[in-house]
Amino acid sequence: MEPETRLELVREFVSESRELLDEAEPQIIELEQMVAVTGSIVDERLLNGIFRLFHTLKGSASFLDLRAIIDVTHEAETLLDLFRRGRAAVTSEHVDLLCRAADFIRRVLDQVEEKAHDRGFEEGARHIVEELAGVRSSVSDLPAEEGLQAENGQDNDIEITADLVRRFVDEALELCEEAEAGVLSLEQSPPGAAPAKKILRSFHSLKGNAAFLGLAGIEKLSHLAETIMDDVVSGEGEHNSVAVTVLLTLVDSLRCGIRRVEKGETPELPELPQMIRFVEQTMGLPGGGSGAEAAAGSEAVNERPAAEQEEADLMQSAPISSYGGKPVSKSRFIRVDTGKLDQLLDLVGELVIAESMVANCGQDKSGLEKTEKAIRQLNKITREMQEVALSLRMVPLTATFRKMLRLVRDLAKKENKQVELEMRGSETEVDKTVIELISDPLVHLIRNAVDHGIEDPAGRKAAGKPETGRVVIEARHSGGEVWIIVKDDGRGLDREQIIRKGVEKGIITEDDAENLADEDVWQLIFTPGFSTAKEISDISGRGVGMDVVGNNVEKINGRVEIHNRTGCGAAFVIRIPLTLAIIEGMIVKVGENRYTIPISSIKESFRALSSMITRTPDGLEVVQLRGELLPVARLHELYHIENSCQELTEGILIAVHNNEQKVCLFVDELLGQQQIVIKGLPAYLEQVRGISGCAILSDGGVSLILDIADLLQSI
Amino acid sequence: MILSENEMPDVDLLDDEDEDEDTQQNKFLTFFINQEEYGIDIRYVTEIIGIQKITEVPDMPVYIKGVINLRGKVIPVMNVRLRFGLEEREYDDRTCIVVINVDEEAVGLIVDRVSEVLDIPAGEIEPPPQLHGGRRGRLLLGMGKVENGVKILLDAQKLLFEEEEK
Repeated sequence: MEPETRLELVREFVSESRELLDEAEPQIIELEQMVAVTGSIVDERLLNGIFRLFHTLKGSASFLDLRAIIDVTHEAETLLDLFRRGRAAVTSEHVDLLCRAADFIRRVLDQVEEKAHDRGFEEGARHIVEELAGVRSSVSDLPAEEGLQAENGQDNDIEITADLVRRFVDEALELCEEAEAGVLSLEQSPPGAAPAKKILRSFHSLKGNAAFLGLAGIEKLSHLAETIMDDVVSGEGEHNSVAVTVLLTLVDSLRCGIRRVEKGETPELPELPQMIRFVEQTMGLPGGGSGAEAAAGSEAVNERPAAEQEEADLMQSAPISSYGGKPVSKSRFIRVDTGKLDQLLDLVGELVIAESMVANCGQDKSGLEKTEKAIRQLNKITREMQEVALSLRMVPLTATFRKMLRLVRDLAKKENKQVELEMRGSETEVDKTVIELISDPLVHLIRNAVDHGIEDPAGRKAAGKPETGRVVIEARHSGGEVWIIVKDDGRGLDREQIIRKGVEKGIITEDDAENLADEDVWQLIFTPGFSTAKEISDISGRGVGMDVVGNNVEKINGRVEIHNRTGCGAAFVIRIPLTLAIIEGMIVKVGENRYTIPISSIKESFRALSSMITRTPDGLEVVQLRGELLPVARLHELYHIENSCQELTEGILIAVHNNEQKVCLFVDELLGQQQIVIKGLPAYLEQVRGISGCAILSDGGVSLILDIADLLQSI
Repeated sequence: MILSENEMPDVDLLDDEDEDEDTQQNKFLTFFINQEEYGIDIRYVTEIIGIQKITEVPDMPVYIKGVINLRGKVIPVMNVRLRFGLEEREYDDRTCIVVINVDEEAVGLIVDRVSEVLDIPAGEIEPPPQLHGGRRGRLLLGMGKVENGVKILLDAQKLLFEEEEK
């Protein structure tokens, strides 16, 4: 080949390959996200896409005889092919490796571009090839068998209806969750305590349900778990981290099994014998030797003999599946507070009455007036029904938050850190779609908090902090938004480091860096691929996490705020607008207008006696309430409302609070308390001082919702 | 030559189809404010409803009267009289809210009464006459000449979004 031509070809090859990698990388990362969310279920289309990209890359590299690239892409391709044919499940480790392979190819390309050859990369290529091959051989035998068994047992569950299975899966997953939360709390609580009994009950129910459906594997495993728990409750068995670890492994295994049931795969627990052996061995041994080893096993997968390999795999891959928070296929079921259902039923009852009223009113002379009245009634009921129906979609964050317990525990263990997770306001209700989308961002934020934020015990001691780090997740309504806050008391964000990385990545220039406000610096970490971690660990560092956070939160029209105190910790506030959220509100009247005050902001309301009121000469009004002096804010003055009550003693005072600040709002009268569906103000009006949104009242009128925090600031 | 003449109508037909997906081109909904007849491009109009109870929203320009509930959607309403600096007038049973939708924003316009839908070809629309480069007529699309007079055609976009000059 003419040197000129070759050079031309090389240039073309490099730019084309980079494009291919640019295309492949996000897909690999998507794969990873999928793995993180669903465990190991992977989109075939995605896999095919990645496969094709590597294949193309291999083809063009072989034309130029670039050995390093050919070898690496070939191995990657073979691995992907395994996944593609469903012979192996993708784990984050695989994804990791693929990412590293892509990084390696990039480095080779850099040199090829410069020197038109790939000499010097032989060693690196061999390394990656070996790793890829190693991973491949470790996964390729086990699933083949699985596939066979699946085919054999296909017709086992004919009599069991799909509905039955669906209900079993839903309930079983819930039981697993309950058991898991209980097991996690076990480490702190004394044996025989109530939570332990509760766990026992969960496993027991699970066993019963499984037996009913003839799912021997799940039945057997729950029985095992029950036995261990039984010992714990009676105080005989080991009540230590080994038992907890084993129980958690069992829960994970059960969960995998349940998911397989959901997809109709049989047997539901292909790894049952290994599992039983593992449990018996571990629990049979005195002390924590084997359990600890198994827990630590994930790091040393390749060196372990094949028999233990599967156990290690179990230990390693199962927790990943539990991180995702989303069931494999979206559940069509939703848990509803029976109170809401009763309300709905009551309304339906009223609806029937109203209907008969409409039907009967034409029969005598005063028909017209009656009709009107009946229709008004009907109208009112339909509206209320609509509101209740909407509120059925609201789900408390409890389950989502609870999953984080496990995450924090596993991460802390892995990194030898002591971390305590505190949850606040988990009963806060948000729309179901929000729940679905918020789970991943939470996982990433918590990973970051534990991995980057919290220092190791020695580091914390040196910094004068308690050895146990704290991560807090909190949910609450604030103004027109739901805030989900993840904060830690770790080292906080490092401005210098982020700027350095930003400059390095070419996102900002050095000149910019000086003048950037802190908030803008923090925003940099949302850039895809941005990571300040020195090494990519399997917890974090590839710079995907914050990207996911940003994207998902954007999907629900939210935003993320970062509050940082270097050395003392960081807080990430996910603010989601309440477009669909529901709050308990007090409707008040001022002049002709009705306003809604969130109940959470109200301390009390009362009618003032003139003896309680003091006026300063410059017009400030103060009311004394049980010894406390509170300033009075007249809503009609704030909002220039005419025709309203002017005398403080004739209207109602409502003591509202925001953090430490307390004020009495003066309104004409209280109209009542009710659940309201919050709607945003029309965008056309932009921001309105002290108003977070509006609600449609049962008579069809619109009421503005007061944002007490904002209102108090504007006074 | 003959060929090309034959082709011409076809081309016209195509053009028509492209530009004018429906028959709403050059149609204007007209309404009265202060005895004057105004028109607004009917493509923006989504519906006309009777006047209803309006919830005041604080801190708004005087012509934004507040919000109403339009079948579960909360939309702002603008009093067109006040938008033009005219005097406010008691609502009566002919007062209407014309709901228009511009750039995904639904806004109700309070008008004295709606009149009719008029066809005003583009050729009959003249730009608003400028006098000393003043700011009058800045919310207008133009003046539509019809058989028995002139209709003031509003620019819906500007009506909603043009900033009030101080």
